[in-house]
Amino acid sequence: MSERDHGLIEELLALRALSGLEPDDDATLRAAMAAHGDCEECRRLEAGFEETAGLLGFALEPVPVREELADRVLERARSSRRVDERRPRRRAALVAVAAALVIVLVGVASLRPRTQPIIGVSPTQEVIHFQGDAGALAMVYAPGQPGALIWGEGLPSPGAGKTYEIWMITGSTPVSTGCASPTDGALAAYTSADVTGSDVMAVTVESTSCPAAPTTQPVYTATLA
Amino acid sequence: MPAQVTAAMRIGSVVSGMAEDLSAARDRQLVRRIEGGDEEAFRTLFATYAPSAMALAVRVVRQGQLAEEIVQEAFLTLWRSPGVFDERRGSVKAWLMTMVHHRAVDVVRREEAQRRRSDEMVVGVREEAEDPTDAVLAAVAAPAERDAVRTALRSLPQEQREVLELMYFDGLSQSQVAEKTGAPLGTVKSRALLGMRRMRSVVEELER
Repeated sequence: MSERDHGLIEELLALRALSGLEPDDDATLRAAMAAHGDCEECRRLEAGFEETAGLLGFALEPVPVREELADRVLERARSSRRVDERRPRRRAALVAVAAALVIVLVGVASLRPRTQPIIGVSPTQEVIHFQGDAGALAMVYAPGQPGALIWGEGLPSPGAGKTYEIWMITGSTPVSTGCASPTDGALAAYTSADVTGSDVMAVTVESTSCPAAPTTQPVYTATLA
Repeated sequence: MPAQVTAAMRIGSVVSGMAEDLSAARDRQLVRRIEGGDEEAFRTLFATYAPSAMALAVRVVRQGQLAEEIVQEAFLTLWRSPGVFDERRGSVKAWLMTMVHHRAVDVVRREEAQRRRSDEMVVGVREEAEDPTDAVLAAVAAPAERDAVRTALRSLPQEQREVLELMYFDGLSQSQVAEKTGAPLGTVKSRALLGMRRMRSVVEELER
């Protein structure tokens, strides 16, 4: 790979680290990095600029935080933990729900309009359908509670050395909820993340290293209500 | 590299180099403990970095309430998804600040109309200062690392520093910076790259 190619990537990575990149150049950067494949120099440049940008904020004089803010964060964190402690039971329950739902959803996922209610879903749970080219992918979650179950049928293989990575996106910030690969086109994955408040869920094809930021365009997306 | 930057880096290396290493190692250890559900570890990281995170959020969104929400969300992400942190990619503190920064910039861009209304006020504040960096750099017994980052920022050519500040601290995109400064987009990009390269060399020197 030529120096010139890394020059473009370096320039765009510097802009992205500063959050100054715009969508067109962001797409250019993703394409350039995808073309480089497993590129150590790209990773070095990316990590170096991200670290530098992260430390820029320390030039500011710290602002004392109110005690109530710390308490509020910890209380929300404790709530998350309580839910996590119940996770085995909750997960088993969700898997059971999913097993029941799969029978219904396999038939209806790609046929019914998204607004049509699905029999078997608790009123406290939401089901969203992803838009994509092949197969059917859906997610069930309880608004306001951590945890979501994602499953699909008829999904194409992401390819050798690749996996699907599932993102929750608020604004333009993607946060990974994990990676999963289908078996014979079927996928069932559980995430402990609280997807409530996200604007969009998205699925990209990534390397099995499960990167912290997406490197390809989404192949499935779903908008949360 | 200007002598003042070299001096600041030397101070940073000699005075706080070992403390910095220990601090980075301690942070990584705290994240591992958080993965195990350790609330005390979470409290320690919060106490250490929430004030700097708050400063950054306030600086970008310029609204205390929104800034608090951004800081909370970032730390909740730390609690819920500590495994997302990859120590091969950098430090815990930079990762935390990056989460805060991305969220803050999202807020700014989603509230573009409101932002435009407040721009006049921001410009007014800037005009009162001899150097826009002065407000940022009002140092009171700053640690060596902070001193070094501030000194490095100051050492940048004015046009590079301006681009970095407008993007990072004001949340402007490359096109918005070009519009605001009157510089061609390509010039803005190259100034951002040159400024970031120089800042990165300071950061790397500090980490040696």
